[in-house]
Amino acid sequence: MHSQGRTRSIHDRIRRAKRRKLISHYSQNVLVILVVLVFLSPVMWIVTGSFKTRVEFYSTPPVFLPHQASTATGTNYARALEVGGKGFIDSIIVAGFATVLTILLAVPASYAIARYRIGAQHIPFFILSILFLPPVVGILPLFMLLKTLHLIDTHLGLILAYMFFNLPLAVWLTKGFFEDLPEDLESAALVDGYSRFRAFLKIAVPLVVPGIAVAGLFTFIFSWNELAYASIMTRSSVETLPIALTNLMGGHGIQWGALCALATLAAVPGILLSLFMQKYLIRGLSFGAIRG
Amino acid sequence: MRRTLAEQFIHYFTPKKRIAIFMVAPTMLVLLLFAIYPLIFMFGNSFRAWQLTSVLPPKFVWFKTFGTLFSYGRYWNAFANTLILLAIGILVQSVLGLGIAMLLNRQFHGKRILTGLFLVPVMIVPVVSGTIWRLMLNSEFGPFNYLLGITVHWLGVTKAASMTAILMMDTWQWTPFVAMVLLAGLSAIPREVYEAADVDSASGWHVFTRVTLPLLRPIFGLVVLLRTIFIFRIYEPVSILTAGGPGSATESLSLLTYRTGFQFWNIGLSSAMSVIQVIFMILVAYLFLKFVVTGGRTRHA
Amino acid sequence: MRLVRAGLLVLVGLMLCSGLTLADDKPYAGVTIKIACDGGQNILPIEEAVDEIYELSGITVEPIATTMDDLYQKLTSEFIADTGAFDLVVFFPMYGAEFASLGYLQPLDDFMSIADPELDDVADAFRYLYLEYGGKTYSLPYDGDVHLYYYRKDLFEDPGEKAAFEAEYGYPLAAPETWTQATDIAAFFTRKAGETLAGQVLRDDFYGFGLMGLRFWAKQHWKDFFGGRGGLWFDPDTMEPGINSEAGVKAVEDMIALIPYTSPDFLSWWYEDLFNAFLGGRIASMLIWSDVWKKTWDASMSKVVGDAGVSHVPGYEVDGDVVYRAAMPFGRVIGIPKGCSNPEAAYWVARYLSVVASQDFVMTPKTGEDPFRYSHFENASGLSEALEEFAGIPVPIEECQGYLDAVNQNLTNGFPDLNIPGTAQYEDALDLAITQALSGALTPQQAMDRAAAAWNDITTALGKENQKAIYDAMLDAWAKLGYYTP
Repeated sequence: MHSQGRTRSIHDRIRRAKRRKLISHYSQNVLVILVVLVFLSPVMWIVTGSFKTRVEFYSTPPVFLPHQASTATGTNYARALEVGGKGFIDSIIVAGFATVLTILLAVPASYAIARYRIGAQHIPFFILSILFLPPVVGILPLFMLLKTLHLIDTHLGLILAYMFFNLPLAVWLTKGFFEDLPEDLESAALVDGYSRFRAFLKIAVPLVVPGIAVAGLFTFIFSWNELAYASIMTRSSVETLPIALTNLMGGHGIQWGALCALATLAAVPGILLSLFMQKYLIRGLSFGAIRG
Repeated sequence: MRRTLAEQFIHYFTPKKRIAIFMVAPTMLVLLLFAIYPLIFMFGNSFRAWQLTSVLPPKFVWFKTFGTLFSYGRYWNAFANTLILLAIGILVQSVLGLGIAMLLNRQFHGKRILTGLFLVPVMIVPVVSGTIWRLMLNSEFGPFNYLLGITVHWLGVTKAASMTAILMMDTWQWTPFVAMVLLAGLSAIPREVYEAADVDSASGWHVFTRVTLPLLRPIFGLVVLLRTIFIFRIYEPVSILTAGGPGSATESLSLLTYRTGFQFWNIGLSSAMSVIQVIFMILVAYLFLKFVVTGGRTRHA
Repeated sequence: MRLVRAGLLVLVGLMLCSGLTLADDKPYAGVTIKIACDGGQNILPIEEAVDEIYELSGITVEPIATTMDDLYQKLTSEFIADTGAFDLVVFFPMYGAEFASLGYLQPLDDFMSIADPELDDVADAFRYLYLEYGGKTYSLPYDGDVHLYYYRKDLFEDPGEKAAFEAEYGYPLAAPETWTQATDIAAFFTRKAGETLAGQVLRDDFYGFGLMGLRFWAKQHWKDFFGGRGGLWFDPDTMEPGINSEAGVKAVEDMIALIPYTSPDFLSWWYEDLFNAFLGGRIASMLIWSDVWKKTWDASMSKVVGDAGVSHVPGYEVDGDVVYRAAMPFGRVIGIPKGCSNPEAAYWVARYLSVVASQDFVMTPKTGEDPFRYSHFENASGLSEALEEFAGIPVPIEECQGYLDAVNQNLTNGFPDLNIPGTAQYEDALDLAITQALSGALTPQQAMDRAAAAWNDITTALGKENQKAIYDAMLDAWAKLGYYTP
């Protein structure tokens, strides 16, 4: 260090550090906005697409501001709702129940695995290995299984099929959070006379809410967006949104405008859920406070 | 005092064990119920030559199917393609996801909205994403080339460009997932840890590598493992953007296995393919878990 | 939405019936028929016929859409599982032999005596190739597909272009008879941005031809070249694949010769990209299905309204004659699955769609269905009327007649798809090779040899004897149509 540094006043150093911190804070904010914009630009393309007529999708140069937005939008969204109306209902039922059931099953299971080391590492590994199965392996056998249970083309059938794939994910996501949680609080609770289950429910669970929120959010999204199994396991009684979307992509002739419209609408529940979940995902301060 | 068998049995199932079993049982039940049949189906059929649409009945050929598979160039080509996508994809998505998670892990105006919006790519049904990306990357009408002022032929012309396009779409769609999980992980790290580091006037980088990363390691390892599992199974980006073309230059394992099993109805061969893939994943996951996630996991001091 | 609509229809119908005692007139009152078809513009005809069918028969039709890619898987898995989910299935005839030979479909002969499907009215090509198997009829036609050569009539009639072409190539500019001429035309019309076309300066690059190179679509073009060169799918005696014969390899080379005159992106082009390019006014000529002509008249998606000329697929000069073959990929037919509980009602619906409803739905550009009956080919005025609705300008009846004649002409010289079990596998291997050759990864000979080897493996796996028997039956149908002379 050169001698100049030593003779500078404390005030200057603090001021400089503060300024650096402020600049860094603002530049990081700008960076965040940039990142979000980049990731959202394809989405904006889809949204503006829902305002376009067919010709505008295949124009050079690309159309960013649709010309006949007023008429095209109406037609597109009308068609989207016509094709996807039932899809919304069915998707909400299937994705909603699949998520709730998955979380209800996964959280206790992951706790047991994290805390009680049940089955050593074999059980968690088995659970994870479900995800290794290539989808094609699962389709035909599951189709046969559901058929035997008379669950083809039913909401329950699809919910069960989705739970099959989402359980491993949910278990592993929450397991990590439980493992990171120190046992002190629960041990203290046990000493105080709490039953193990109560300690789990009242102490552990609230502390891993970010993990549960993440697991729940993604279980919902995966179930909401799933197509392959839905397409094979359902016929006409159940028609989830992804299937409704493929109706707009029939063989010769994609109905681009309506497709964009329905895709936009289909993303809304997920976005709402995500915004709602932010509250639980971002905790930061509270954990430290409790420990202190 | 000798215990009876029954007493030993009850003694073994301590309250601790009982509650554990009770909590795990429903999950295991569902998984076993649904996993048994596919597993038997997969292993069983990998030993048969069975063409669903043939008049010839299925017959046991033991390891002959695997033999055919080992000399099936197209399969190994698909394997190589998938591994390339995997290696590059994991690298890019992890680094990018971590960077973004760090950026979001602060207090700032509109944090909730921006973070929520950031997840939108994951919300678009993959089939639609793929179809739209196809249009966006079109070198004639696509906005991608137009806005960047370049004329790259992304799809179907060269392997490099096509793989890049596939990776771009996959990265766009899944980095938010990585970032969200890491953000949740970062949120769980208590403030005190950072405050302690601050008092020691450690530099940002120092804090990051010595404090944050180690604490984040289990979650980070988990999300990398999960992405590995899913990129290994990549389907829509490949199927919709290039259909595996040109030729089979971008054909992925999932695509080939699906076609073999579900379009060619060669159940025997697709089962054998699946077996190899499952074994591969088991090895990768096992090694990964052993060395990355559990090794060096630190508890809070 | 559809369920609610169907439910309301039934309710209203029931109310009407009870009030007016018309129930006796409706032979199948209360029956629901579920029909699976690939979605979008191909299921539209069914959706639009729901009301009429109900009025006339009492049947409630429930259309169930799948994607075009998924159709085969969905149908086969349903046949295997037999859950009775579908009462009627619309599928591509290239799977017909497979479905019929595996017993997935019910023969229609008994039902045909109840209500005449007017098969004599069906174009011979479709009738003998699409509907029958083993001496029985298993399906009724729904959509006829044949390739046509499309060109920009306005450019061909432009005096400046005509003069320039004749000066350069020594013969008049007209719809090409041979592929050599078509390639000349393609070369002539390929211009860069800034050059002139028909007196106007081009803002973007313009291409002389449109080629589809996307995986699963490249083979659709190849078939026109292969057929024109006299290729056969298999040798009739030995069951050796014919795809790597001279005809097959040269067919690939002909396609490669056109690459300089098409979009550099062509390896990612499929049906949508190709027809949008033409409709957007960016290519001068192309080879594509017959339904696109209707689309060129739809002002909401076409910039070339009235400018699309159609002609027979170009061919090759053989001993002073021009031999050409138009590929007939896809097409659609309606069949009754084995597990259908009310086949009579199902047949009624199928027949209605094929005989009555088709008169309208093959004419309108809203659907993807093409003419397949002689009554369609003779209805130029009906076509003109239907198109005028979308064009906003008068559609000359002579042009419609010209189009219908072209379709008929191409059908008379058609080159049908391979129609034996395992078609999906054969086509995949073929297409893989073609795209590898087009992208330069392999030479045409190498690529086609590999495909032929794969074809032999497939044939062996499926049972060579059985395959040969079915192929021979297919060739008999070809011979009846004059597509093949033993």
